[in-house]
Amino acid sequence: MEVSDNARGRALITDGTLIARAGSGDTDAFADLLAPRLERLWRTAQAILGNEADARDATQDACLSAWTHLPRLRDEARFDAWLNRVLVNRCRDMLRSRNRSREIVLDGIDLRDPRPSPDAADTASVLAAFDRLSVADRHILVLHHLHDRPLTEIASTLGIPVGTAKSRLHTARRALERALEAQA
Amino acid sequence: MTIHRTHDVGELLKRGLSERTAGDGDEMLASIVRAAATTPQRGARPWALPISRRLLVIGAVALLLAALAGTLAVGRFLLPEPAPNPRLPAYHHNGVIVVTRDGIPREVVDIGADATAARFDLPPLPPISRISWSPDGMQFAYARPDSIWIADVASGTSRRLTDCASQFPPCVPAWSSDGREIAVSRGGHIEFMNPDGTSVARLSVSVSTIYALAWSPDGSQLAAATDGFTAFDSSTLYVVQRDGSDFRALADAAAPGTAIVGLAWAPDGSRIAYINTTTWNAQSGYTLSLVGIDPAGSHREVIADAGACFCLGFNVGGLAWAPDGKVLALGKPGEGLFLIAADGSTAHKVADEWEFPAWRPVP
Repeated sequence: MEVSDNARGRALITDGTLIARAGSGDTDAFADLLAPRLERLWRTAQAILGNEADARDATQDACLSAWTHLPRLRDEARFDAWLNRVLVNRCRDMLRSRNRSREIVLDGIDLRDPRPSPDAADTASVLAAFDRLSVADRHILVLHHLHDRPLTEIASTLGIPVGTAKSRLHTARRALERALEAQA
Repeated sequence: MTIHRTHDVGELLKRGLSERTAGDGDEMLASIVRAAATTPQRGARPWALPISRRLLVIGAVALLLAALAGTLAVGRFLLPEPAPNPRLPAYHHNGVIVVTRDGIPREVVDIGADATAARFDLPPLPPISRISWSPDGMQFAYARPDSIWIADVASGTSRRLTDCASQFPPCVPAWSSDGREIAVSRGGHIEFMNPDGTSVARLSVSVSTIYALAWSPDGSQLAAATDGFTAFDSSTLYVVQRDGSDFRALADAAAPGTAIVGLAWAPDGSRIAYINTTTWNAQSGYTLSLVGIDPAGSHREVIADAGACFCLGFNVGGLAWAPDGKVLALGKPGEGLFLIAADGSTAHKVADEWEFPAWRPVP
């Protein structure tokens, strides 16, 4: 969807006002601020963590942390980059703690046809390689492949120049390919 | 496994991630807002107004103060009479420090007196950062998100030095000690410019964006720290000769997700000080430490634990070394301006809510 400059300007003003009100303790404004963003945040967390329950916890923690510290956010225009960073850091924390206490699933084993279709096997293989990447690589791949964000928007979300975003996306793709090769 | 082509991998990744994720956040939103209603927020928000209204208020206050002081003359410092300050006996220095507040360089702190903030009488400027003084103390270069400007103290006017691609962090200016060049970072490059805006030379440093830049006191070398914030990789401190030779990495931030910021080269050339963001935590934000390293990279020491800061990565703060080399000024957004002894033995908070300090050479 294309957004005109004027529409972008209005969106910025609206967000700025919401951020100011939310930063002053207005929970309704905070809800209005989160509503258009929450689904994408949650899907980002799910993609990175691969676990719905963890993703739910990470998203809620990140949003609550944003609420707590919103009064100290100095640049409203950077709200999305800031919120994304809070979320991704929370995801990283969860992955670290998960590595320390690995879950062992004893039940729920699916005894139906153990041979997945070739497509499903390829997809599973790519996801397994994806799960071996760094959180930073996963994040930029999620922005590009899951959310279909253009490079300019990825750069804005990560708070980096477009050229750097392009370079990091390329690096993440290469890392994914290497992880796939390692699996093979 | 026959997945080789990038296109295939991308398509499969898209499909896999789409299957992995499901999104209906309505219930979660209600849950978050309920939790927020019972969770206190940290820190007051005096800047809660939109930026346009903030500038109006700042402008009105500035005019009122100027009228009260009996002058509307642009370009004068209104420093208070120095008074002895028993809290800062070790920090006496005949200089002033210009700092920004909400991105506007409108205050002067007389460190030699009682650290009382006095008004720096320039018109309110758009949000700026990264102040670098000319050696005669009569001009300073500063960064805006899309350009570098030079402010003239005597006239109170600013002129554009050069444009930058709109980016965060912005281009960083660093005025050479002989006053003849201004180094400007552009992404991973350093461009050397004359103060009149003409470009002299260009030097490639890194594929990552340069976050902080500092000249050696003798003007022969530059230190540059690359950005390590947003991609959650670590940043690196490089040192390079002005002519591009002897390029070397001096130090890496401790771990991914950390960064080197607030670079300052000691006046005697013996040490480079920087702020290292050592960890990031959703509850407490960044943990900052003040680190010193010699230009050869052989001796690195933590000068002081600079505390925590829940600040946006690009605004972790600024660092400036006093001309006498005894004190470092550290600005932490939302926290204050701190003076830290160069040996780390003492630290004092001298003002509220300052960032990007820059010690003004005494004309």
